[in-house]
Formats: sequence, structure tokens, C-alpha cells
Amino acid sequence: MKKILVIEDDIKIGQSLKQGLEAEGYDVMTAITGEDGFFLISTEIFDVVVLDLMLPGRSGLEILEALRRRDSQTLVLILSARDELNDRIIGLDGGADDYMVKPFAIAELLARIRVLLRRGRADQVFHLQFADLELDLVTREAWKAGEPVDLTSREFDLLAFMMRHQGRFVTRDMIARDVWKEAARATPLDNVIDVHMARLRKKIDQNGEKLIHTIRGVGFTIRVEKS
Amino acid sequence: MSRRIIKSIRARITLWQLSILAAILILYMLINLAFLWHEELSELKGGLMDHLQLVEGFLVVNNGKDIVWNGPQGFLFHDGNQLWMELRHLDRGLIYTNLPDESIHSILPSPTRKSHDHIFRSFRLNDGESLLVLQSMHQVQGQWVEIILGRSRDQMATVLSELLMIQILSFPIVLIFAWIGSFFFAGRILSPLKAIIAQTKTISAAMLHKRLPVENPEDELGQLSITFNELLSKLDRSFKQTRQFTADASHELRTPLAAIRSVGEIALRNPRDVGACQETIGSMLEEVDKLNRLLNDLLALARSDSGMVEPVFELMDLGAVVQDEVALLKVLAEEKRQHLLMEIEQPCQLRLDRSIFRQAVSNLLHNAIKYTPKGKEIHITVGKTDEGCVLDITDTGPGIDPEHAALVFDRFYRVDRVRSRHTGGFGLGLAIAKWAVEIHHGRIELHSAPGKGCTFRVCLPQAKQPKSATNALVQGNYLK
Repeated sequence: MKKILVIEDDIKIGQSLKQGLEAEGYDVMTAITGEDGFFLISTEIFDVVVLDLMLPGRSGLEILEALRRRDSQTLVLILSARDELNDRIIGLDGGADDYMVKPFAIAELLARIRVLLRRGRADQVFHLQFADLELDLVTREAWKAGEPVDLTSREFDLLAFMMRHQGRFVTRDMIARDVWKEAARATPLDNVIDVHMARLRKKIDQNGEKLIHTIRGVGFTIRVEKS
Repeated sequence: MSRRIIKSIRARITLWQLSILAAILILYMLINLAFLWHEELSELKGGLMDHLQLVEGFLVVNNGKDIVWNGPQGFLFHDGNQLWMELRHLDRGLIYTNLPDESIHSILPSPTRKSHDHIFRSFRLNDGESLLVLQSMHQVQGQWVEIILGRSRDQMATVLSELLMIQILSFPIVLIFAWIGSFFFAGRILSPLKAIIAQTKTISAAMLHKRLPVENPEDELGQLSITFNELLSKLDRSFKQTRQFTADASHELRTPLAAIRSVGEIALRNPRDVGACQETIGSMLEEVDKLNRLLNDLLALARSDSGMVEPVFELMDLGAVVQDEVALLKVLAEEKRQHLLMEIEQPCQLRLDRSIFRQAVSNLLHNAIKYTPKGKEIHITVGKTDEGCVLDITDTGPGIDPEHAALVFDRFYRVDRVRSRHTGGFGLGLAIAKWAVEIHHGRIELHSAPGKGCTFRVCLPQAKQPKSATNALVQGNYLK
């Protein structure tokens, strides 16, 4: 079981992070001050540290620095309320592996941690399968219950992205960044995503059970409804 | 340094005026003295010349060979001074003199040649009297006589020194009067400035509608007041805008917060099943998402206001950038069965920050799609003018009243508030588009009439042929 340490001074955020990560099957510890976090990273070894930058006691950057001085294995994901490019650069230069700005979607944080943990391992998937859906990532063909489905390039990418995160949530932010490759998400793009999603849904969910679900206020998921 | 020591403008003006006046007065006095000195001198010389002829007439030949003085013992000038004279035969010596004790001749250089030249010299007697001396040669029946005439200069010196005294004494008196006058007039001239200062002190953030009085719009102080009033108007406007913006922003932020709160409270009031709870939570998350997007927009605008955005310009084709954005948003038009008709009349290259400029195109296109009815057309045209590149986005929507047209680029401005809220806009899209165009030194215009649709025209200054690129090319050839 992967061990994760969450250093976050806001108790509500810390608790929801703990619950979200535990639901994904991680072993989670939390610290609410810089001192506590510093003590924990000094005494135990974690696979991932989720680190808030603004902490009472010791700043997140100090903890990051101390951690990197001894150990380069632990993956660090920084959380910050400040979306300044400078902070981002300082954080990543200081040895962080990823950076997220508050407010963030838990779904996205979980996805990023999965990506971090997978990094380094060869992730060579040529074929994706979910329920009666099949995707060939090389020839970019799709089948539904054995029948070929005609998808546009965007729809194919969108479906592949959701199938990679099957059973979990994907947010519009994640889609904008990973499928559309847009750095910033704006209202027009949101609408564009929704239209593509609706079209994809029409093609996939036609005369069959519903696979793509909209989760209000979060995003989308591809899953089989248990009835 | 003197500027720091003398603080008031009034004192500085007075001082400058006095310095200039004093310089002029001194110059005037010097010219006066020089002129007078010259006049007196030529009068003295004229007197001597007159007497020279007289003296020459009294020189006679006695016994056929000796030259003797046949005149009176002396002459008096008008001023009562005596004519001093010494007459000397060139070979035989002194003929006549009325000088008290000494010979001028022994001091003066002897005439070197026999001619009728007149030479004036200054000479001081032993008793201190200063003389103007005329030395001349005269021929009487083939014999040369040296005539030396002298005249006191003391009178002239007295006149000149008296004049100098008068001037030196009157100088400070004139200066004192000038100082009083100058100080008084400087005060008069500057008095409107004092009024401006007093008025300005009463103007505060809450009283920005106040204006300064303009006494004479033609003079500099009037101009100052007018300029100041214009500045106040601008400040007043931007203050009002800021106040309006703050009010709008807090309203926009409060609305989703109120929704979250009320949805949560209602959900807590009655026990509910899981589905209903999920519905409530989803609704709350939607509002959170909206808040987050609004915050991002506000932050982007705040950054642009404070000049923190540093665009990176690169030469690119306007048509291509617009085309990409059209391709991205095309699905939205397809959903409404609208036709996006793009036409590139003339390709146009310019220097753009792609990510910033895309926001302008994206917001304008989204706006056009939103307001154009189903099945209608939207025209997108890229062209070129003398000034630079032009992008027109023309919708076939309801159009905008002229009264609204000026305001659509204002933050949070929505022509139809109810409808816009329903479609999820904050009224910031066009404000962001305007900023994105202006950071490229371009401008954005709205041409519209009710019922006729809107044309948003983006004018961008043409990219100058980048010099560095040409240079690089030349250098490249050179290196080969």
C-alpha cells in the first residue's frame, strides 16, 4: 500500500483529502502544522507528500527543501492558493513534482497522484477496454459491443481519456488541459467540451446502457451503473 | 540650491526681476558716464583748437627775424579756467609762457617732424591739477614754432564724479521701489494660484465632482485650472467605475454564495434520501465552479490592470489564428445550426501574443454564437487596411441599441441581465476581449443597430517588417 502524507493547515481540506485518498486505497497520514509535517517526514518514509505552501510554523518550501536534502524518492505535490507563475516556478524548482492551485477538484488531485506514482514505469497501453467498449490507440478505432463506432478525432481522445480514468471522475479542467491541451479554461471552451461530450454520449450510449455520466458540479465519469 | 532656500515663487520672481533691473541700471549708468566723459572731452578739445588759431594769430615777426608773442598775458575760457600756454621757437627756445613754475616742454616728447599735426595729451601739474594739453607746430615766415596749450580737466572730473555719486546713491532707492512694486505685482499675478491651492485642498475622494474656478481661460493659470479640471473629471469617472466594479463584483460573488447557502440550508432542514443529497451537493459544487471561474476572470483583469501581464509577441498570420479559434468553437455553432462563414480577403501578418489574442477572438466568437438565432449566419472576415490588419465578426443577432453600445465593453455589463445569467456569462467576456486587443496596441469597435446585428471590428497595427530578421539574413550571407 502506498503511503501518503498530507500537510495542510485547513482541517476541512485535510480531512476531505484524507478520505478521498483512503477511498482510492492509499495509507494516509495528515499533519496540520509545518512542525508536525517536518517531524513526520524526518521520521518516516512516504511515497507521496501533498504539501500546502502556506503553513503555520514552517513554510512548505522549507519542508520541501529539508525533504529534498535527504531523499529524492518521495514525490511531492504542492497545493497553493496563489496562482502566480513565480510561485509555481519556485515550487517546481525547489524539487516539487507537481503543483495545484486552490480551489482544486479532489478528482483531479487523485488523478495527478496516480500519474505521479505511475511515472517512471512504462505506461505503454495500446488497447483500452471498458464494459463493451474497446479502443485501439494505435489505429484509433473504436468498437461498441463488437460493432465499429465512427468517432471524430476529438471524440476518440475524449473517450480514451475517460476510459483511462474509468470508474473515477474527470473534471472539465482535466479535459481542457489533457484532451484540448489548453492551459486555461474559459467559458467558451466549457461549452465546446459539453457539446463534444453530448455527441460522444449519443454515439456510445445509443440503445444500450448508459456509460457516460455527468456528475453535477464535478465533471464526468464513465462507469456501469449498479442497479 | 537657491531654489531650495527661496521657497515661494513670489520671492523668486521678485528676486529675478530685481537682479535683471540692477544689471540694466548698472549698464545704463556705465553707458551714461562713458557718453558724458566723451562729450566733455571733445568740448575741451574744441576749446583748445579754437584758441590755437587765436594764439597763432598773435605770433608776429619782429624786426624781420625774431618771432615774438604779441598777445595778452593769458586767456580765460567760459568756465573761468585759464589757458596755459608755452610757445617755443624750434631753434632758439622759449618765446613765451604763462605756466607758473615749470616747463611742459621738458616733459612732453619733442615733435619729431615739422608738420601741422595736433596732438592731445594729459598732463599733471606739480600742484596736482590735471591738464589737457594740445601740442602743435606752427610756421611763421619759414620758422617753426612749437605751440603748447593747456587747459584744466578738474572741472570735468568733478562733473563726472558728481554724476557717479548721484547714480550710486539713487541706485538702492530705485531698487527698493522696484522690489516693493515687483513683490506686489507678483502677489497679484499669483493670487489665483492660491485660490487653486485652497480649492484643491477641499477636494477629496468623496468630493470629486467639485471643479476649480477658471478666471481667465486664456492665460496659463486658467489653462492650469482647466487641465486640473479635466484630470478631476477623469479621476471622477474612474472612481465611479471602480465603485461600480466593486459593487458589481461583490454582487456577482454573492449570488453563487447565496445559492450555496440556501441550497445547503434547505437540504439540512428535512431528512432526505441519498439521491436528493447528491443533487444538492452537485448544485452547490456547480455554484462553486462558477465562483471559481469568476475569480479567475477577475484575477486576469486585475493583473492586466496592474500591468503585470507581459505579452510575448511573435510574427504570425492573423487568418490562421482566427481559423484555429473558429475550428475550436465551430461545434457550438453547429449545435445551433448556424453557419460560420470565414473569409480571408487578404492575408495579414502581425506580431501577436497568441494566447492573449485568442481570448479576444474566442470571446467575440462565443458572443456572436450566443446572440445569433438558430440557423442564421455569422461572418468572420480578415482583411487589411492602410493601418494594419482588421478582423470583423458580424452576427445576425438582435443588435444593440446605441445607448448600450458604448457600455458593452464595461465590466459586468450585460444588455439583457436575465438572459445572460441564464446562459452563464458574467459580462466580462467583452471586457477581456477589449483588454486583449489593447495590449496589442489595437482597438475594438462595435457597429450595430437594433435588428441589424452587430459587427465587432478589431483593428490591429500592422507588424513592421522585423528588422532583426533582415539583419540576420544579411549577416548570414556575409558570414558565408
